[in-house]
Amino acid sequence: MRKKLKFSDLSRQNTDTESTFEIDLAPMLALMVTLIPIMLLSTQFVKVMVIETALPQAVQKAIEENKEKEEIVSYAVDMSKEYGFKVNIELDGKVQDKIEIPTVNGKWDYEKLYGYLYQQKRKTPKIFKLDLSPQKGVPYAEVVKFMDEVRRVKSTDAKLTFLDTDTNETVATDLLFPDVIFANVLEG
Amino acid sequence: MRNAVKRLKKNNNAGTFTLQLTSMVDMFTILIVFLLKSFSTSAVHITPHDGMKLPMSSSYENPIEAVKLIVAYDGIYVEDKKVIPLVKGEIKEEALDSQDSDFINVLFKELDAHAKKALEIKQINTEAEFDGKIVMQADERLDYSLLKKVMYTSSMAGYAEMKLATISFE
Repeated sequence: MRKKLKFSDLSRQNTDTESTFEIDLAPMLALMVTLIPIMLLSTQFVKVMVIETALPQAVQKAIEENKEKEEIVSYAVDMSKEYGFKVNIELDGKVQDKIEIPTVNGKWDYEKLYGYLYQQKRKTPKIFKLDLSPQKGVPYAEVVKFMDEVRRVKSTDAKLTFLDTDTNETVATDLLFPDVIFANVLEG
Repeated sequence: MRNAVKRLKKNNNAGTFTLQLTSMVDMFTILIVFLLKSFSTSAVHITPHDGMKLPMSSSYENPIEAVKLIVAYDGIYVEDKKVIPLVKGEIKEEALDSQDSDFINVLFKELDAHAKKALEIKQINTEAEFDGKIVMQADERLDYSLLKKVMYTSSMAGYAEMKLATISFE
């Protein structure tokens, strides 16, 4: 018959098994010592990216269509230290709309430019190309900033929608003008 | 002195000891997690040129394998070879073509040599392609007028698809 264990027996048993032990961390340490130099060598602390665009298929197709077709609507922005931005929107070669956005305290007014381009883009959501002509005296950093500002729709604004002609479905995109072309490079 | 040495020897032989590695392992774990987070999976790495200040951008596209063109404050480099010296980010007039003020002769020769080399490779290896891609690293302080000249010259040499290297905001 099994003997009933008393509390004192249990407590004795407990103290017997309760021996302290230490995990052998040496192999883990060896592994880490190997891993850390490898990772230090392959880690990029300064991430260098390139300005390019990854586009969803339907949007990409719209851009391709846009490239194939004769450009119906064209957006051109002139950027200068003196007068700020001059935006020119042409429809079939005729000026449809234009605006001048002067600099504020010597700084380019990107907010106003974005607001204007966003409103115009809603009317022509299938146009993704924008011709940029920076003038002499515009620093390269500002050119990149301009490209950043017009690349995407801000998270606070609604996405742009257009009808995909193949599937007859409405496609939403947050791309504004990802295709910035330096229009004045070949002007000489 | 002799007694002190004897005492030290005695103490050393007294017993073995184990190193407390727990805190060190903790530190290494944190370090590895941090390094894993900033670990780059991109096949192509661009190391900014010495003393160069690349512009910041929200672009998230990984760099591609292409001809490396560097427009630094001290000069223009093609694949790390200094082609033209610049004085405080400005090009000397001698470097420009007398007929076309946007055309940089030496840069064109260098890029043209690269393009010809790529075309020769293409003739031997049919899988190789010459797509006219070029990655430009330019200092953010430079004036657009200089970059316009560089872009114009490189497009004349057949490198029309230009990628602008920038530093990611992340």
